[in-house]
Amino acid sequence: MWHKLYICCTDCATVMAKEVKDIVAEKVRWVFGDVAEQILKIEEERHGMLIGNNMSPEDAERLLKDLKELSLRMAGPSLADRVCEEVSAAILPPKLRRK
Amino acid sequence: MAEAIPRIPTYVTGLDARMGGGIPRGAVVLVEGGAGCLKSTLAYSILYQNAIRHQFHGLYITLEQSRQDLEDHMEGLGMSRSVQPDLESKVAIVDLGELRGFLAESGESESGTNWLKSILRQIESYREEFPLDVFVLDSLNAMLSLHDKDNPRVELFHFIRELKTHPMTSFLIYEASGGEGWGRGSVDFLADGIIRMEAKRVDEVVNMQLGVVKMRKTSHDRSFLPLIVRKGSLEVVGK
Repeated sequence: MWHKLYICCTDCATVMAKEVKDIVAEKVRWVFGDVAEQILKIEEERHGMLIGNNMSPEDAERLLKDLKELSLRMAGPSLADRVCEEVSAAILPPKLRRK
Repeated sequence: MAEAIPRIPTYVTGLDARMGGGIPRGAVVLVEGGAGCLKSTLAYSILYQNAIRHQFHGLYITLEQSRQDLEDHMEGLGMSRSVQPDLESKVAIVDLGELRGFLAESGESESGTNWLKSILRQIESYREEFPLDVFVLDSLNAMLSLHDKDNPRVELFHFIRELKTHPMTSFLIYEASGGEGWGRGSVDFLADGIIRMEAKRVDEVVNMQLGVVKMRKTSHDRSFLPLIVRKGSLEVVGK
């Protein structure tokens, strides 16, 4: 329940109020289309994790790395950075976010 | 006096003057022709030139040719995305073939995906993040081959109608192999414009030709004209 520690503002509270997995899917839909949910499911199975409110920082980093790698192959560096930023903002508290 | 229709120039030298300054904004245009007839080059060039000259944003979705191949090919024709800062994000290429490969590697079936609807949702989501002025789908054939519906005409009807609700100009690349196939007639009818590309053999040389077969809200020349690729631009030549 690590990120409950980071409910420091309205943004964090909003994130907590929704399912993190849904938020991530919405954030990456512009590059993955309707396959976004399927990709997140594959990630969960591959790493034996659950994307959601209880995700560990390590799992969050793993998810970010995989999504960035796939979006880099699909859309190139500039758009992959954007995907990474969006997902990072959705799943990591401000201090841990990276490009 | 009637208000002038906003148009998006093709920047194919000699073509815009033959169709009232360009393609009506918001139109859905079919770019059709055989293999190697420069269909992708034409659509990419329109997107690229408008990004460079007007800072327009474009999205090019490729289903078969890889992003890298397409990028290398266009760069070889003088359309590099590194000539302006931020041009890479204004001329966004998204390779859905890569995504299909990822699904296959992961042992997931792609047949459960309705790619027509998925692309529409992708466009909607993209527009929430970025402005979108020009959209290219390469190709309609590849997309329909992923579609296992019995009657793609209905799906196509909704797809094209939905594209028209967005304030962007769309180019759908269609590889015409001579046969009509899956409901081709409905695409011809639904599309606002049809640009046909043909290869014509003259002695030992194959020349490309371009003709505007249909363009709604536009008074246009119907001649088929030789198409020349110059470094970074296209040109039609003729009387």
